[in-house]
Amino acid sequence: MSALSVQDIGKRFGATPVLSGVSLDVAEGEFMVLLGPSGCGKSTLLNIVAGLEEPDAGRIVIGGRDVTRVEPRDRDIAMVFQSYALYPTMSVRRNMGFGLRMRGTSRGETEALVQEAARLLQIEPLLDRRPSQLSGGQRQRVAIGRAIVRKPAVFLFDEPLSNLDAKLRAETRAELRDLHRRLAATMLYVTHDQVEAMTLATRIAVMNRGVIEQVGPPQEIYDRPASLFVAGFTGSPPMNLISGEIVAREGQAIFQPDGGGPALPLPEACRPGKIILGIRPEDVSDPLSLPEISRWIPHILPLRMEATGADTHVTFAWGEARITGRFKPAVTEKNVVPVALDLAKLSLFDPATGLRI
Amino acid sequence: MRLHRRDHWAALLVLVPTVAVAGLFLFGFALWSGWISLTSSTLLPRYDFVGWLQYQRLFAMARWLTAYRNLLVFGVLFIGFSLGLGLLLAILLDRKIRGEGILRTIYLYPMAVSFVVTGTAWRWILDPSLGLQETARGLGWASFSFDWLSDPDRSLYTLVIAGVWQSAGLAMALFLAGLRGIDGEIVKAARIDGAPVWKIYAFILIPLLKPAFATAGILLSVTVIRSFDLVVVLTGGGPGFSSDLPSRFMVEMAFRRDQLGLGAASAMVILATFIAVITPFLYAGRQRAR
Amino acid sequence: MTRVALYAALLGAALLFLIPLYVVGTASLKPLEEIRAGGLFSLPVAPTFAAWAKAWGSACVGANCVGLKGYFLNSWLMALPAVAISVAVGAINGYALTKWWFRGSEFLFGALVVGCLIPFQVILIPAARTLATLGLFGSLSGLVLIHVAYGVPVTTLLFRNFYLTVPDPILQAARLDGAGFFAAFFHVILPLSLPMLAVASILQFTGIWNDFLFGVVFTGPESAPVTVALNNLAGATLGAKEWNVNMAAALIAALPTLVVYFVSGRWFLRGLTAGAIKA
Repeated sequence: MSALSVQDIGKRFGATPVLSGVSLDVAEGEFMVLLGPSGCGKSTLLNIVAGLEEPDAGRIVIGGRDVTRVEPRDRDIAMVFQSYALYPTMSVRRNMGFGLRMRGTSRGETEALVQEAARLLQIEPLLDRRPSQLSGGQRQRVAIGRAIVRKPAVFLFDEPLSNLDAKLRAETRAELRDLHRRLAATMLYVTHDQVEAMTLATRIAVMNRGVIEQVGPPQEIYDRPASLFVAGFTGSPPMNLISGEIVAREGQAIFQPDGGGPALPLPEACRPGKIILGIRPEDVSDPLSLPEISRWIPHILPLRMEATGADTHVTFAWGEARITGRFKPAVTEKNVVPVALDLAKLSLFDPATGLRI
Repeated sequence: MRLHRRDHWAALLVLVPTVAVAGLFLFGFALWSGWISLTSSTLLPRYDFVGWLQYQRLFAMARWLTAYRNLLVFGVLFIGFSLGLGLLLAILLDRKIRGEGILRTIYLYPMAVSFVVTGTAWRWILDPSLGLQETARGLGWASFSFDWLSDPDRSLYTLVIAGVWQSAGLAMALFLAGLRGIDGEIVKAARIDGAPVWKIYAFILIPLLKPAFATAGILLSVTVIRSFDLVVVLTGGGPGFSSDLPSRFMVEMAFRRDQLGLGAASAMVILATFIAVITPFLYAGRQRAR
Repeated sequence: MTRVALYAALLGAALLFLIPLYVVGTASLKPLEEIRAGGLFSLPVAPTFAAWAKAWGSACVGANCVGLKGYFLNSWLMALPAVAISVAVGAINGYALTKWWFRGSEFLFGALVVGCLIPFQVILIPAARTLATLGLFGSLSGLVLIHVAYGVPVTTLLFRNFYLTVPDPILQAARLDGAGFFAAFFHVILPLSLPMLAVASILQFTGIWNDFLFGVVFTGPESAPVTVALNNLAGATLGAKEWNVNMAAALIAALPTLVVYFVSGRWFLRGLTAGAIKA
């Protein structure tokens, strides 16, 4: 039985559909990340799971109980908000204990549970401060503390790291992962940041325009994107997408990019026709760093280079397409050619549907 | 609204009495007044129907016509001078003044005082036999004359003086808040462009104060229309009825002279005037909001 | 040079605003002969509180020569409950309106604005009839009712505007924490509203204390607030005018709001501008 089950949820604001037929199962103890650009409906979905918004269609089931019409307070969930939403007039201690007190937990027991959560998050010295006396990172911890103190069945996170600076974000990310492991809790986490998604999730659900385009473990999302959208939204720089045509030549499928350029021999048989070919930048590189058995070395020329420090991105012209490859920083204008593509890592998409073939 | 049903009922429960009371006390009463104005009511409401009779009576009364004209003259002068003085003070205060807080407090304090108090004080200050005029003469300026309070042609202006003294601070505060809300980089850019200070105010800052003008205009218009205390206390509408205002006329007719129908008719004319004056301001405000 | 002119202009203006207060204050401390002798700006030669004592305890207000003290008390008995009720109702209304009940809130907002701006002449006759029917005409309770009825739109609008700036997630967090409508209001929203409670109370107190129109129309000789009594005292046409007593009476009537203003000027200003309403 899944801890949280989202079943065929639909929601529109006025005439605008925000969610259409969204279904998702989150297993007990799973860290599910909803990943998508802003406006894709992921926050609305989270609010519906929380009970803060009402769906027009579909059901929300938590722990086997249909909670679609249940008040947020009775859903056995806790939520960490993007703005933290700490109660400004209460001390950290009261902030964390408020939910317990509202549920009739005794003063003593509340105090004990708050202490325990504070110890876990190492915020005991902050318990008597007001939120305004805390740094951003500390507020973040208190917000998490307020959620875990109740030991809910499901934790909901709404972009909880987006207000932190880069260094703190990386640290907090690691801590969240630890926390998840220690609590073995079910978590549903909304973000537009693919790095957060990749590092935190046991599974990712990629959302676009109110539908879930793909659900799977991070590596699968990365290696085998189910659609053009997923391919373009994940990875940095994102996957190269080259439109062209498959033609059969002497019994072999050949990919011919639009606008000419070297034709690529496909490793597997393919139906002829229009196609979009995808390949990750790390699979476009120095021939020596790619496996010999699957590499293909076209004659294409570099247009520009961009050094990031750790590696250097080189963009090549291939027909009218531009493809970016990832090279060791030692690469220079002179030795960038030849470049190789790892044909074992190709993704093919149907340009009409945008789906993976 | 199926979710959180209990809480939404609570919210409704809280709002319903207010909506009911506001509906009755504002719209219900306004309609009721309108109805009375179409009847021949005198001491007590009498719900017959006499059409526009009371309005015809009203506009045949020299006293009403004077009061109504006074409202327009007083309104224009009071609002004009309050805005002008308020704007001037705000601009002067905006020039990085030391002791700005104290000065602001001084300019605004009359707002905290009732018009009854203001009126009582000014009546004495402007009293020809005791106040300014007498003091100036006592100081050796024998020909100094300031007897507006007893001059039927000028007594209305004493209302303007006391009113502006009381309300200019409000305009100042609104304009100053408006000036402080303007992005300082605009001024920096204008200065780099070489514009002199007065040009920066005239062509850049004052046009940006439109919202403050609208707010101040609305508040001062409301003050004008509601003006009752000041005229009652300072001039008593006199000499004669030379400085009467519609609001005083209305209370006189309705509650002193047992002319409910006539009083209600004058109230409806006041309401119509108010709507005509306030609508452009509100419309401007709404447009800004979009 | 221009700085000198600038300060001169500002100080001159300050003087213009302060002179009436000075003149009234000194006059209230002068014996009547000194006033008759003229000299608006002169300091009292023989300062005395006799005028204050008379204004407070024995000056004639209409036919009753009992001074202002009873009316001063009336004003407190009117203002305190009217302020407390209108502010409390406004706070919870504003909360319900911005955070819970959205249907028709546009319309309600419009009605509130109308309520804040309406010329009161238009409601005087029906309000008087209604108070008479309720048996409240001429009583302080009736006056309190009127002040509450016409104060609530102002306070509701003030709190509505304030609660619009309170982020929704705070309330959502409270709901997830199990707080319902009232629990969230009392535990989370109200503690946040302390500054606004002060602003609204100050605005309402000033407006209600300084009211004259409602006091004149809806109260009798015994239940009049101090503003009405002041007018009756100062406006008496019989006998010689005791200007020093009048000025002392004016100061007595003005003192509570002036004290509130000088103690809390910043919040007073916020009240005037926040709702953009003047009662």
